[in-house]
Amino acid sequence: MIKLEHITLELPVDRHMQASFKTAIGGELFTRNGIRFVKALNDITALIEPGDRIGVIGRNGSGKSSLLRLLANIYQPSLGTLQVEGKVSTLFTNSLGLYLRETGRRNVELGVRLLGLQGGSVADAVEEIIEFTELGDYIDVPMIAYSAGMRTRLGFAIATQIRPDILLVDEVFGAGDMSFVNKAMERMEKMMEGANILILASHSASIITRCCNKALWLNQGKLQAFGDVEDVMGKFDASVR
Amino acid sequence: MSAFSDVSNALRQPNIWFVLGVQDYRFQFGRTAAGLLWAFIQPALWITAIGFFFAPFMGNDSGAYIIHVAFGLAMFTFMSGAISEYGLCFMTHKTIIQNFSLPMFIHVLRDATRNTCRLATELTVAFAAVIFLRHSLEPVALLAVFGLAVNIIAAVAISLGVSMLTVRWRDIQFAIRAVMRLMFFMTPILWSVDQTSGARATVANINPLTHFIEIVRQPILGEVPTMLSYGVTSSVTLAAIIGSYVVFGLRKNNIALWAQT
Repeated sequence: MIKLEHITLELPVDRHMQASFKTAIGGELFTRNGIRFVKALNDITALIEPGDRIGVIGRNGSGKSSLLRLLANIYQPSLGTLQVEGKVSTLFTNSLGLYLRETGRRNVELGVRLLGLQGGSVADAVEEIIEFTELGDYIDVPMIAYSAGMRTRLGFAIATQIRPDILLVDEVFGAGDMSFVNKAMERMEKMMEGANILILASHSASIITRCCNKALWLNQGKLQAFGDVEDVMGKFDASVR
Repeated sequence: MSAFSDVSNALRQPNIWFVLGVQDYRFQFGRTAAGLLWAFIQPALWITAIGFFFAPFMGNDSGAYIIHVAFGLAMFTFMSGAISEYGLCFMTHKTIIQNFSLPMFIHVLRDATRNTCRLATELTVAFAAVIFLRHSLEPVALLAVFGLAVNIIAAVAISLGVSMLTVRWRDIQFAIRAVMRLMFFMTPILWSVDQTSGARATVANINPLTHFIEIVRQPILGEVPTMLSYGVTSSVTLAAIIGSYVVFGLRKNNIALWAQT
């Protein structure tokens, strides 16, 4: 279960300030003590329950990534209270921030350790991930030679390896081909059988409608709508036409 | 998560920080033919060159001088690395900080592991010099183990504190870099405090790095470190632990925000 009550998140931007800011996209900009901040999330209240598969939608700079990082406990709210119950796993980047000059296999070993696996379960996870990614001999090639799609396959397989209660995914399917996207969807659907929570930020309406039963629409850091995926997607589509 | 739970959670996960730290160290030699051998070749070459060019001026003490330089250099590289190189910890690991929910202190321990790996290889070379030069170690040499422990604890605490400052104020890294270059000459690595007098001796004695080096080096050379050295190192270590922990406790939640700007 995830409960957000009047959550506001202010991110520092830089020290150079101007008197006032007006933007069409992105959260509200403001200055305090000579430092410029963006109000990445503005007074968000929502309740996310087990079994919810939430698609987070919105224009660029609407606060989607900030919301996911907040739920992952990477950012702390500036105002409001946040309650997250369950083991969280993240897939925010397809390179995982590891070693591109090392092989995929080595990165898998390190990646699953970062997610908390240890001992014999690391070796089991490596074999399972190699099978899922279909990378074949590429698993022993340095990751710098991988295409963005191959990195996405590996990153997704690692992030979904630990069977989390809550999976947070941010815009990583863009680089994957259709066969991988289908496979990833099946994997997520299997994970959801355990009444887990999926929160997926994407610009792809087809991915959101396929994976999610609810949608959360953010606009300049504010919650525009939250509810049934068809309803919210319909409103969002109408707003951007 | 409070600062205490962050630190204790991190300490309980050596499967992350130790493995990644060793990997970081090993990785810098990736795709080289000699591999990890470079870690030994570099300090060995330095010490040999110093021995060749400077030791003849030391007469009968040339062997002791080479050992003096070898241990001095290893400990200086370790402590200066903790301040300048690993004092950028939260900026170095910002991608992982932004993508994984891990205790912040784990990144400090990861870098400390890497720095300690480098120290281990440099000390191996220094001990090889001890054997090669047939320098006999006295029982007092065991005090060097205590000295090493103090150095490692201080290095972790200092890295944490400096990393908090550098992730918040980006100017600090450049100031530290400038000062550390000067410190190499202000610290008795190629020379010793006994050979100096006046202002130079005063500077050496008020330089904490001198004392961090001496609590390891002097026992190896058969001498008990002075109470001044133990006093300075224990005070600096205690101050670093308290100061860094307080700052970490107050501003830990801001690290991910500052790191992304």
